[in-house]
Amino acid sequence: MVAITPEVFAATGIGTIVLGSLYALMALGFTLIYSTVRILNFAHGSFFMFGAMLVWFVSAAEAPASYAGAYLLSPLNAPLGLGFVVAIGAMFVAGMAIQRGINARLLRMRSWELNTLVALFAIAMIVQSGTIVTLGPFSRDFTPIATGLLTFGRLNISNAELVRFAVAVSVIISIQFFLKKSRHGLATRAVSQDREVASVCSVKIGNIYVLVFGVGAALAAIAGILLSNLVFIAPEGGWLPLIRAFLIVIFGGIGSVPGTIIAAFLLAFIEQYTALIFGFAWAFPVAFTVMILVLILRPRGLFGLKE
Amino acid sequence: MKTRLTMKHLLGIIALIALAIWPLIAPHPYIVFILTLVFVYSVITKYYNLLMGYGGIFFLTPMIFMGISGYITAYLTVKSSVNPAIAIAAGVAGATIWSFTFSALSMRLRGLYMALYSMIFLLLLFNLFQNDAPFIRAYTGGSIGIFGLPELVLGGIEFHKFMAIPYYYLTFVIFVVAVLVFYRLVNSSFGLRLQSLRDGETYASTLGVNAFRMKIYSFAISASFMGLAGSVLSLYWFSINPPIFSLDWVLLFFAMVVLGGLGTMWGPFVGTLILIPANNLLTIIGPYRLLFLGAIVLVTVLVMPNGIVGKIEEKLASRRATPGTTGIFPRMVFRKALSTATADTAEQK
Repeated sequence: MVAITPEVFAATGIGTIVLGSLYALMALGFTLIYSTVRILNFAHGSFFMFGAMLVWFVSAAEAPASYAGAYLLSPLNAPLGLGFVVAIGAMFVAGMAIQRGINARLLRMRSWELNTLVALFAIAMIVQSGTIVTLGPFSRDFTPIATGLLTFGRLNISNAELVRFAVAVSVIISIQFFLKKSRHGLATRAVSQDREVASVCSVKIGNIYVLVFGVGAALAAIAGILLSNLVFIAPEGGWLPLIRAFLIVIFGGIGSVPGTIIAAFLLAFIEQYTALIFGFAWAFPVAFTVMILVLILRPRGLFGLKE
Repeated sequence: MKTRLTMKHLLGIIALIALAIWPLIAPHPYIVFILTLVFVYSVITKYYNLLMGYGGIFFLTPMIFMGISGYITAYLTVKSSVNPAIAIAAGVAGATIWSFTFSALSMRLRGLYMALYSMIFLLLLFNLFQNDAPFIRAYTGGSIGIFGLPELVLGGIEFHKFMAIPYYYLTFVIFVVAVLVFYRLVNSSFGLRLQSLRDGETYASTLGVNAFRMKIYSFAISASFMGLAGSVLSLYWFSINPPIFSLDWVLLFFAMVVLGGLGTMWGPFVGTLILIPANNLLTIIGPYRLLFLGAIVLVTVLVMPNGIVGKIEEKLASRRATPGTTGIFPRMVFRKALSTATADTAEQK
């Protein structure tokens, strides 16, 4: 167990803030989809993972020695920035395509809740095994976004952390702008509040669904890209973020963006400090147990709107 | 409930006798193996269907109960030298008790929340059982699991001998019992109450259906059968390990039930019958197998959301279409009438 010096404590605090912003990003996409299209996007984790994988695919030099050439596709050695653009754009388009092609069809059915769940789970497994097959089953990391350290007295903040935090926060703020100020954002909010009335006000529901799903997928991809700079990313690495997003959304309350953000930071806080005190192995179970308890005691979450 | 002896029943009885007799006449080891697995997994998928298709409870992870029971059995037989038969019973008891905890905690979760709740538990269990910390590993065998289970011996017969035909009969009997219990449950007031909860919980509770009790009971019954299957499997394989809590199993069971047909009596069995041999054959292509399974599930849910058996029932019903019913499942008519509050999305363009 690490001796808990003030430096370590502060470093964990910094980690909480950075991680919290990334979790918030991930959860934001999830709650956007849930409050608008009303489906739990089981494939959200795979969007997260695949976004990161796409960046790797575009920008990595080559696969690790033992895997090189063993799988269908080897990475193109392109600049990192291009990788980001391609990954986010591709996930945005993919999300829209999935909504248009698959979900739209399923939403018309009687048992749409179950069927969308099944379909999205299947998509998640397809993406996961597709990644294993084409890109290889190994976990990977890629070149950090930024190197270097900022030092304030005894406090060290790495530039990478700063960049992550800055990107996450700016994306969240721009989403807020989008929702509050733009026409499509207004339409999205209308659909999430009352779908029938929104359609009466000549909002094309189907198109809003497509947009929202695409945006949600893109948000997951951004979160995945940012987070995978921190940790290794493996094809199976989508499920944990999905569960985190779900817990955050439940804890913060459906349809409440501030609630989601607060809940995200809370989860990061619990995870990080549990890891500090009890070790990494316990961070996961403890955080989830806490959240499940909250789920049981207050199913609506902290700031949940009425369903 | 009186039922006439129709052609369907006759065919069923013939099939039953055929399945019971053929291993004594011309046993083929691979087919015995496949059918044994089919019977075991059919039990699981049948009760998976009870919870999901008939109960509307989106419980995605039967391996929670399967695995716990299997681990209990493994632990008792390996670390405590308990007679395997008793260990099976203990496993079933353990799974059932665990189901009480599980369902009690999930009482207030409806629909989709239950889905993620079950996934969370699965991941938690996976983490727990593959943890290599010494005090956990003593009980669960850590990431390698528990192996070296003793042979199941009943009445002097070692079950793996004779091409494992004793296992065939064991699983066959379990399967028949499971089907009979299922049939009695579904066609009784219990079944009606369960389906009413699926079709409209608020309405059903005004009619006096106790959702809490129904959930506890359904989970308990399902857990005991799933546990039974899990224990038998762990003895069949002489081992149990953490991958039983992994996601490929979820996909496999999902695929079997979705392909066969949720909410139908024989759907899961048909799905299992098709997919178990297929799954076995597909292991040749390694990682592509999951890709295939995922694709099968996706295509099935898009094209035949009620599965193969559902499609057949639709065809049969439309042939003798009577005015006034939707022709598919009469209960769907009630659901349509009740689901005013739920987001019944129709004609979304």
